[in-house]
Amino acid sequence: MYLQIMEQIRRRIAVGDLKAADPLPSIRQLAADLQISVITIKRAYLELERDGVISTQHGKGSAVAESAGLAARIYEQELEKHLAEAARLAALLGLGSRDLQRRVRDASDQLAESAKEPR
Amino acid sequence: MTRSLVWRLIVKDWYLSRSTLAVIAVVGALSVGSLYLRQGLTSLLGMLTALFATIFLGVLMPQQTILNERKRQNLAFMMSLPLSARDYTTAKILSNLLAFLALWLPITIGMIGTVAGTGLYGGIVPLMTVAALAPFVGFALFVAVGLVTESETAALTTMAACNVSYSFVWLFISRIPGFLHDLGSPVAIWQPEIQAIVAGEIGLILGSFGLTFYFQSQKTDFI
Amino acid sequence: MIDLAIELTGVGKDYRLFSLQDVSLALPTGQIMGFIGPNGAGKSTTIRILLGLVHQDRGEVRVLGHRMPAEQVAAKWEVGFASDDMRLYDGATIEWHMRFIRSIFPSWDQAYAETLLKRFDLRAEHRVKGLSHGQRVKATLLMVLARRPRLLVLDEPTTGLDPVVRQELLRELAAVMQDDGRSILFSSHNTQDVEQISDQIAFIDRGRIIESRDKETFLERWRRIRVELPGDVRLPALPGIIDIQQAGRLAVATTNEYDGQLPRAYEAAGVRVHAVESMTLEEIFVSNVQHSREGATA
Repeated sequence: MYLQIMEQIRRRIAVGDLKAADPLPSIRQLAADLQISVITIKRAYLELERDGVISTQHGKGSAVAESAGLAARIYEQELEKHLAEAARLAALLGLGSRDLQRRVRDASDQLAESAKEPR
Repeated sequence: MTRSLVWRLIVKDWYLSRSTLAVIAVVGALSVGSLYLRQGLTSLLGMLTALFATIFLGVLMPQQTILNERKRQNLAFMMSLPLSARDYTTAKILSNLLAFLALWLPITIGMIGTVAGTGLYGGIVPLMTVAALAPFVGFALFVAVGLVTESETAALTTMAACNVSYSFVWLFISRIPGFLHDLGSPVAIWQPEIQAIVAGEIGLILGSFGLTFYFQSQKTDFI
Repeated sequence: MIDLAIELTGVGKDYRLFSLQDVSLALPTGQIMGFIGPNGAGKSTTIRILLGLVHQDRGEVRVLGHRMPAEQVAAKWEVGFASDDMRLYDGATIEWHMRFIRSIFPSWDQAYAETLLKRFDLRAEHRVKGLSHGQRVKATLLMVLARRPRLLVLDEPTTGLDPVVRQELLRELAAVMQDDGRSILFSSHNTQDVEQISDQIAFIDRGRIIESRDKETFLERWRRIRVELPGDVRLPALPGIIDIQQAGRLAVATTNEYDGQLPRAYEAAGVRVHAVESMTLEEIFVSNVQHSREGATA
């Protein structure tokens, strides 16, 4: 469940809702707003801090990390995750790296196609 | 702090039994009133009604405040309040006892006072005393058994047993040598047997309430 | 501030057909504990011992630092208790109950009480007799919440409530937790609610605490590992695996002591790991109870 919270926050940063150095709600406040246990929020914040997405100052609460290009980095992290998963599944299916590359290219082409089509 | 809480519980019991108390109060007032009319039959009827009112109160009040509270699962609500088992028992006994006395005392004093006041029928007074204390004994036992056993059946059975026992009491009294003669006397004659019976009644009343406190304090499962 | 809002150590209680054995629980201040277990497991008994309504035969009980049942009066000033077998008085109105509680507890917050009336969609002038089950539960909870007690002990607060009301209650409980000096213990059959809102989870079955730890660790340690057994490879017995369901070449192993090494251990034995899945609290509940019962009869 803490993963979902992390996702939410990452997403908000990625789309620009939360900008660098923006303060985040206190753990207890967020817990009350979402009706989720404090311990889950704590865990989410902890993991996000470990990933460098947010920074916590003792007594001052948490805020979005200062570093530039944070949004891009978040998407980077997500891409890495998905690639790792794709690699794992490919291995399970017995696909070689060349097959995997081809599949990735196909997917990319498909995306470009659908973007061109009129809505 | 606890004393005001106990008082609040007593008032709460009276509030929740307000309709019963109201009816009994009216009946009781009319009955006592009729005593003072001194109109033979009316007064006699008044006395009897008063007696029945007392008996009813002796059963209805504890039933509503004690047994129903447990039956209707209000007990958990009460015990979630900052009071001990002892506070609860005190409040229950007092709310019932005070209501009962409010009816029983005027009736008893009215009856005995009226008779004694005539200066002619004093001989009846000892018998009347025994009779007046009878509903009180039944009431005390009902409250005690109801609180300790929390069983309506047990309480009602005890009440019934008590009433049955009184037939033996009347029998015993009628056998006291010279009793019938004493009845006709203008002054009250307190035979030692009568005194013993009255003492026994008072003892039972006090004992019931006292033992209630004891047994309640021994309980390890209050709910 | 006291460290532990609730502390039970080795509590035992014997009844003719059932007994609580060696129950130990600790709820740190500012946290919320979900207390789950099958019917008849001893949740209500444990909660009553907490309130001093039942005296334990063995063990120590401390609530907000007060020893129970000896100091129950002191404790009950700051503990709000509501259980599903508790009833308000039929012959009185909600308003009467509010005034009654208010006259006893100085911590009563009238403004909050009125907010709750609106949120719970209750009318103060309604007599308790005419309320539906859900409304009665809400009214009882209102009496307990408006006092803002330092500890809330709720025995099955959401049983029999429709989803809308359940959400309302969860929202109020979550709001309580904004104050890190207040704590909540609630027992529930609704594993979803417990999973969502609890900081600590305690599992009880047949009078014994099976597990009691913080929720995240709980959910971390339970996993379902889906594997495939190629050829004549047999499933190795690994530590921490408490259940195996096998259908042909596919098997599912359940563990309650997961560490990252397990999949690797399987792979090393020639077993192909398809997936490692986390489990919902409901799945853990069922698995936990089965496991502890098998262990008991073994």
